[in-house]
Amino acid sequence: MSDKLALAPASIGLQRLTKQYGSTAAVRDVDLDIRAGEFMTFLGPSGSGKTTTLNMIAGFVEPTNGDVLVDGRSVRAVPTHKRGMGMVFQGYTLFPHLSVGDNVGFPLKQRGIAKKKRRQLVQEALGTVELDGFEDRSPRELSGGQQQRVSLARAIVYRPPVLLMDEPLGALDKRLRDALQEEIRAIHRQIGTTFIYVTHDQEEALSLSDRIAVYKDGRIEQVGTPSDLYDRPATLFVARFLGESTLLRGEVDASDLSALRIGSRRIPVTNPNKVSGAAIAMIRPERLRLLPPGDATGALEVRVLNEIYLGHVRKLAISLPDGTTGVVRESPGLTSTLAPGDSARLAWDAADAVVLPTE
Amino acid sequence: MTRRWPLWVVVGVIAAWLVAPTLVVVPLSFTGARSLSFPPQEWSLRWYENFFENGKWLASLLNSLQLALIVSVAATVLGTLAAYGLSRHRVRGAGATNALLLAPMLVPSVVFGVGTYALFLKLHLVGTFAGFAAAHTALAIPFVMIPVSSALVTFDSTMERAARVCGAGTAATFWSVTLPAIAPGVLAGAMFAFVTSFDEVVVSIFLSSPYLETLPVRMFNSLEREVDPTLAAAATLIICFTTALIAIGLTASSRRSRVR
Repeated sequence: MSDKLALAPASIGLQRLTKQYGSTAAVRDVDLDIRAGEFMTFLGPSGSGKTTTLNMIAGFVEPTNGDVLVDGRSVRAVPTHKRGMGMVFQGYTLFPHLSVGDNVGFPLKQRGIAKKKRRQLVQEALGTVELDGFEDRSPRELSGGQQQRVSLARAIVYRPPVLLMDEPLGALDKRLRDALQEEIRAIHRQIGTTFIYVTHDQEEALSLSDRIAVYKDGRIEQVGTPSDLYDRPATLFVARFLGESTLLRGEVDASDLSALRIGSRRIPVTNPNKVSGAAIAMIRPERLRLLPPGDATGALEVRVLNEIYLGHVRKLAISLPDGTTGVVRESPGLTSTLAPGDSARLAWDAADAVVLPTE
Repeated sequence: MTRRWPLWVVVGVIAAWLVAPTLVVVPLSFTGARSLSFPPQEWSLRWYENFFENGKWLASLLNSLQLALIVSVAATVLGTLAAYGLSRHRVRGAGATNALLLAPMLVPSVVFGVGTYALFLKLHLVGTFAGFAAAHTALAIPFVMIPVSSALVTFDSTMERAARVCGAGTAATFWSVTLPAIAPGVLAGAMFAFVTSFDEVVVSIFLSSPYLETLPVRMFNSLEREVDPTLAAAATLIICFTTALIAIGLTASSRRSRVR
């Protein structure tokens, strides 16, 4: 391996990173430490600041305030082309006048790597994305999925210490997205580079990432592993963004943090953030069980509104005593015979009802 | 099938109206007579012979060709850089700069000619090749900026980000990614610049001297002093030349866009 090519994955530190456009802040005081080799995803709705953060890491956008550190050193004064990062964009961005081979070899050429070595590295990179022998094709001849693979090969061919991906699967259809997701995960395992991945698709984030930073209005709302965020969200926004849930509204007394009061009922909950006062208990659909109407182990009386049959499982929309709706996902093999209009008792384990502050 | 012939008649009339005055020159150039009378009574190639044997005519043609070539190179380089700079950097005064650069296209030629003449007299540039080149380049820059700017609008600038992240600096990014993408616009601009210079009469009349005149100036002077059909022969040659140039340009650009 040439010494002009970086090898070791780098850590990225964001310190009070801020980007102000006029009087509105696209990114506000973002602090985050991304470990070397980690797969970090920025997840959030559009306009929440995730792409702006990525662009500041890449050097396309200059921060108004704060700093970006690569392996502990500030890169504020380093222009994009000297940061040595790799990047995959949503729109493929292959150079149309160059062949696939020359596209992948482009970063190597910029680094002054000899032609022979270049050809070998291009071949390896195309092999990694399963496009062996595509060197002489024109990008125009390729499908969207193939083009995105080529741009992935172009981003990894020089073994960048950090690989940035800005909604790389956004322009592809569902089937291709799943296949490429699989490939991206395999490439991450294979090359071990630090990945920073931007998406608004929560399934993608959950299935790919080591950790996820959820963005809202220019700030990071919560950082954690996929299961942290899914099972133990810190806010209602995170809970909603990462999947469906049933929400129970009530009060938590400061003297009894492990119970939610709904009227006269006392419902056992888990309260990792020690929330008190008006609060919401959040339960994921697969953690809920529907029992026959008379069953005393059920905590709440509910009514089935309608069912969605998904093949392997059934999802039921239910009406809660306070008139709001919730959702139950029956596990495979445990489907009940309940039909829309039926009454039932709703049950769950206290550990699965997470108390969140109201918004 | 609806009746299309009325449409064709209208199109034919408009086309004839546009082209006829130009084409009248062609038979005139083959006349055997000493005057520009239409239609010609006898036919001859003597005026073409005269064009190529008379030193003044040939010299003016060579002047025009050299000048147009230099102007098209200079205006293409400067116009492309100006369009690129103005599209990529939202600096203060960008709008004003843009308007200023396009002004030579909008200001009446006579006004531009008088101003240039007054200025160049002081700079001793009247009647010099450099003076011609400078004035024509200023006139041609807008004709480069317009096609290049529109090519830049359709060019996806994330391509440039992709190139920079790949390790290409500003200059390398421009050469290896931006320029190939906007090449059709740049070529069109170069062609327009060439024709602008090759065609220019008004400003050139101000700048010419008895020792340095361009082909259009020569033609204009010939009309005033000699009134012989060599003028028509020169005009016919120009028609053939510019038509060929534009035809080549159009086929080249349409082939390019079909590939896309």
